[in-house]
Amino acid sequence: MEIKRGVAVSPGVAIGPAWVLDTEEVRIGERFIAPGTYPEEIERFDRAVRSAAGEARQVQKTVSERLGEQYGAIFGAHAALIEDPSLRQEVAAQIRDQGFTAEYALSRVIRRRAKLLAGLNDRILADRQSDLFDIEKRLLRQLVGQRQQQLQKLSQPTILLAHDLTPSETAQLDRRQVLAFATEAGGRTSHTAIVANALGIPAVVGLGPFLTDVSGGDLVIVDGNRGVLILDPDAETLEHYRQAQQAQAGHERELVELRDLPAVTRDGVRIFLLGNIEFPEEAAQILERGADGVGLYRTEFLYLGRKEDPTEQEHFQAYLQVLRQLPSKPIVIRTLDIGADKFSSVTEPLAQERNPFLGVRSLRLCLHNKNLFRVQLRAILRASAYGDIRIMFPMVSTLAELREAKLLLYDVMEELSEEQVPFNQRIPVGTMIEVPSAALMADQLAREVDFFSIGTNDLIQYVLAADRTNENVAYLYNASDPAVLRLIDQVVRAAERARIPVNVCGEMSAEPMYAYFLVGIGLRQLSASPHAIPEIKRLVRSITAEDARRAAQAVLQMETAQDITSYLRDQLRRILPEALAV
Amino acid sequence: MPQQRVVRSVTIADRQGLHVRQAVECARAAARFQCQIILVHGERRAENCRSPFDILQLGAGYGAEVTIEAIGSDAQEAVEEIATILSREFPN
Repeated sequence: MEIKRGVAVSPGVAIGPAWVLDTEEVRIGERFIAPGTYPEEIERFDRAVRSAAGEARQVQKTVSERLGEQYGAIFGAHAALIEDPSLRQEVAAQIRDQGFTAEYALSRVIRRRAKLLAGLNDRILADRQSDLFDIEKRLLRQLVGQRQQQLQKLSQPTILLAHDLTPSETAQLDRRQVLAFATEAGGRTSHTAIVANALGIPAVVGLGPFLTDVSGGDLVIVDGNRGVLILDPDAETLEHYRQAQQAQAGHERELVELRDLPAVTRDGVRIFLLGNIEFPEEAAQILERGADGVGLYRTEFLYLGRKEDPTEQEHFQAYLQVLRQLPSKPIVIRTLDIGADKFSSVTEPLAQERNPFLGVRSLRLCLHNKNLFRVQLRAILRASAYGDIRIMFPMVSTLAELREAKLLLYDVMEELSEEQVPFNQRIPVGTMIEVPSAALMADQLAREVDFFSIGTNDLIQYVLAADRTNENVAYLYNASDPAVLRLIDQVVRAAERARIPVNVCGEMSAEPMYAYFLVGIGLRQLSASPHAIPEIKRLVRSITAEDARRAAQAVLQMETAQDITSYLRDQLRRILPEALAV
Repeated sequence: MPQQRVVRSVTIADRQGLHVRQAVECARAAARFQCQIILVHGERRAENCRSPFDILQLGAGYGAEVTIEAIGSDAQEAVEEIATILSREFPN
């Protein structure tokens, strides 16, 4: 048994066979051959050896001509390793005696040998593992190539192990087939982590090198609560996790039961629970978790990991993809909220910014690059013809800025009208309140928009002038800070007076203790990541709006963040004792 | 031809330690002889000197001592040839 520690990014426990996705994505699908077919399987391995060695010699020839003999010799050596008699003997024995497939037998043999090298305590020798993996890859490509068709479908649910996964790869994972995943690279705030969380797939990232210690089909455990990957678990550990899994299943059943129940307080106040999504694939989660719509559809994913900016059609398709899954629900699309570095069409490099969070980003960037902004506005408007699409501007700091953005929107509307392209003339237009100046001017802003959405993550950092990723000042970044809570209260009051809806779409909505406070100051809409919704619904159904109001009034009179946190924790302990246990 | 048992120790002279190309050359050389050849480094043994994998697995770094042991009619020539390869410095 081996225990690897990484970063827990998506909760839950999964036990299952490993599916090792290496960098070149050669995957080992099946572990066992049909009984009695080993002579054919060994013959298959021998054929793969001949082609792989031939391939390596071809590379040797090319490299020798281009770079010189001594470089070509490396590949000549690889060819010799591929044809190694000991390797063949060991692989053949495993195929014959254990009934393994050639791929699985090869992978086991190579990994065992690589591990021996790695254990030699000599850096240069340990690096030689990469030669072994090169050989493995060459042979696997031959073997897998021979039976590509059979591998297209996984025969059973597996745990995906990889060096790294891109966010879009993660978003496309089939939750019925992938029980959990664990990667060598990655961190807590990566998009991969956000997506895993949204999909509800237990995940651990940043584990460091471990792929060399595991073969496809090995039994592994991913503990997404503690950030642990266990290879080859012993009986006791396995039993412990089986029990944990059962407890989790019970908890999940309870949450599923909540799905179809309305989010209404005990004294009859309806709270609308909306979901924050990042990728179109997450829309299914909105329904599964019983949310009332999409409170925040981030659109930055369209720009990530690509060379050219997305076209209007790509924007449009991404919006329709969500709409098709949620035809009768509101979908709030937030316009681009990223820095200049993400755009390829922003050719004029801006001067190096000393403080990017106070610089040209988000709406500011869009207003500096109107042609780019128009592409997105056109796509959102076009999508509005097909459902309840709403548009929201992020990082608005002043009234003038909001007016400029709206003016551009009207201009694009006119353009579409002239082209006779259908769109919703009365599309609701909202603004995020996440800059203190906007919060202070909320009463004025409220007259010119249809709704507010309070982005607490940025609001907290701007109000307290503290970057939460800077560990020396992170202690200041606190959602419980009375200045933050008072400001949010002011924004809610302004929205109430102007009779426009207001929503909170930051992480505060996802935390039961703050959700209680937010309901208490009069919020009737909360938007959180889909997986958090059942928990918040449970909270809502356990409280009365009147108690929450009294608690919130008490909080608004308190002096320090510490006082507020401990007071809210106390309240929550009384209402939902199990919520704090997690 | 009479059977011989020849044993000789050499020191790995290449800064990279016993590396892939060297292992492959050893294995190729070994394949040309009739005799059985074993390499020993500390507690690790390569029982089949015709397998570059097994030779690599010795994990012999720079300056390590490797013992070559051969049994067979051509053991003397085999040991000499392998000793030459192992104690040689390879150009990068």
